[in-house]
Amino acid sequence: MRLYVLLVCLATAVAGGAAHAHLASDSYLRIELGEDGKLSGQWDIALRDLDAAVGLHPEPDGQVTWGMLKSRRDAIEAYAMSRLSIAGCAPQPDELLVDYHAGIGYAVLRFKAACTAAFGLIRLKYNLLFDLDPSHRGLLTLVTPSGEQSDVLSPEHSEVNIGRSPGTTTDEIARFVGFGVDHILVGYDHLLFVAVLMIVAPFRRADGVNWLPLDRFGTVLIEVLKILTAFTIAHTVTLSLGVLGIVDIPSRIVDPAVAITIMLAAVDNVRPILPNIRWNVAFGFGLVHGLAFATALGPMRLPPLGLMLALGGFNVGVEFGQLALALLLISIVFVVQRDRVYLQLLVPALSATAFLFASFWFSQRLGH
Amino acid sequence: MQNNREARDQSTCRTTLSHLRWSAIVLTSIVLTASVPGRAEAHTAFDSLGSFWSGVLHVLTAVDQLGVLLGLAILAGLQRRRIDSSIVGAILICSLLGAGGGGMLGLRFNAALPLSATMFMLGVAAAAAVRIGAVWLLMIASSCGALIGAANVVDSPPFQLWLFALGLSIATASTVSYGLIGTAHAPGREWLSISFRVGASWIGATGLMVCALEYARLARHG
Repeated sequence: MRLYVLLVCLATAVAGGAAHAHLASDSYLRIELGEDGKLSGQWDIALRDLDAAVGLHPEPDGQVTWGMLKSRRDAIEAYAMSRLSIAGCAPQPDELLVDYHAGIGYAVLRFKAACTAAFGLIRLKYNLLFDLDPSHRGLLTLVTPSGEQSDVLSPEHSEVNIGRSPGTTTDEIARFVGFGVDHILVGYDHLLFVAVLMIVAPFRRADGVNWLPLDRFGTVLIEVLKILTAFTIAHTVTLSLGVLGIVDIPSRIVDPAVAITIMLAAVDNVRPILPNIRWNVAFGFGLVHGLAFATALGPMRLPPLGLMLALGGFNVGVEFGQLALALLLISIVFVVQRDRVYLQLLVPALSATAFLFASFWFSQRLGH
Repeated sequence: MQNNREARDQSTCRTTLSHLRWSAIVLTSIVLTASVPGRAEAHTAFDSLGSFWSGVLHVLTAVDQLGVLLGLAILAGLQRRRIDSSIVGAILICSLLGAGGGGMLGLRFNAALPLSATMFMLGVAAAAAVRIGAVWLLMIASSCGALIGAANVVDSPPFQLWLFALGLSIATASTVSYGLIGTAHAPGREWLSISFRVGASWIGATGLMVCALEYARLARHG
């Protein structure tokens, strides 16, 4: 028992630095360019990101009031405009508004410009927050007389040509696959859920209570694939419903619910409280996780075809990210599964650590 | 009868000496080459994936580190007595402590030489299917874990050091685990053992080549 408590403490201390679930940092930039060379844009930047960059001096409970935002308007506009350059145009800030995407506050910066450069030669360079958070992504929607295109801007891909014929559909899908991978890789709460399922993946509940090890690695891999596919199908359903606006549940409900799914899965590893078939569990909880993913694509306001491509690519990317974590963990768990220490000590210790993290996130998110 | 026993005793003694010699050579090589000072190189291409995945990718994209881990897995997989879970546990904890502890202490050293030397030693030992006792094997696994952990300290991000270390140690343990799973059927199949030993000889040869080139570079630049 003492060793068990020690292991939980050690694991919690080691991962203590990650106790905050890293919420993906995204901004939404929509630029419309007319044939007359007039450009108008809207940039939605999360208030928490702006606070990290320019300091909004929020209330002790984290709330940012309209007065606070207005008092920092010059600093916000100066910071944002210094991080966006559009060659041949000189964007000037126009309005500052506030909007909410899935319950998260965003400052909405509207800007205008008259472009002198020839159509197709306007180059956009995006550099928001990359110095503070390299995992930040800018989701760009470009509306030009030749059509509408979307892009995902990252430190490695921070420049695009506005008005040039859009990249191929394959390029666009590939970018959203990459965005899906990025999104899941920094979404530590989703990853922890997958990790909790992996702790007992090479076992089956023979009598409904006790875990029995599976003998063959191939069988274990098939089980893992079943679990992850069920999880992906489920979150694809709710993600699509969320992005299409059919279901709109604010993040103050979804985020704590995600933490609860981790807590329940962790408890189930030690005491059976959920159905014995693990992929059923993954499917049920995947519906909740999908609603959390919906915040990523919803505000882009893409046309139906673009949205379909973005959704498809994003889901594939999320699946790849989950698969990467599962493949990383499953070999370790398979090798140690036959050691009695693993089932008797490590499964409870690891599950308890995951439970502690999830309860911390739960209380943190409930407070918000 | 008496002669048979003496012969068996002599054989056991020779085998034990062989265990000690090989284990001592590998361990001493790791320690000696790790103490050679050199230029530390940083690359932060993985930072945009977050600290955890940055740690994972630092191991999975370094050929010398993969070579060490696969060499170790083949060596452990060819032993008569398998201690797979202990090896995985030891390498996981030691690489975690190597990266996390090394980062906290501000450890900086060029790992190319010790890693290639270790790769060479493990590759040769596995190719020769040297029998090593469980304790020595665990010590070698722990040293390899600590070395790989410490080797990546230079690339750890200034924040979330332990998350970086966690990703690195999981990737390290996972690579060894795949190697051990792969070699699980080797003892019963002669052709499989031979192919693993051939693979180990390639690891050893690559290690020797990298080691020689790195030594020449260090000698030239002081």
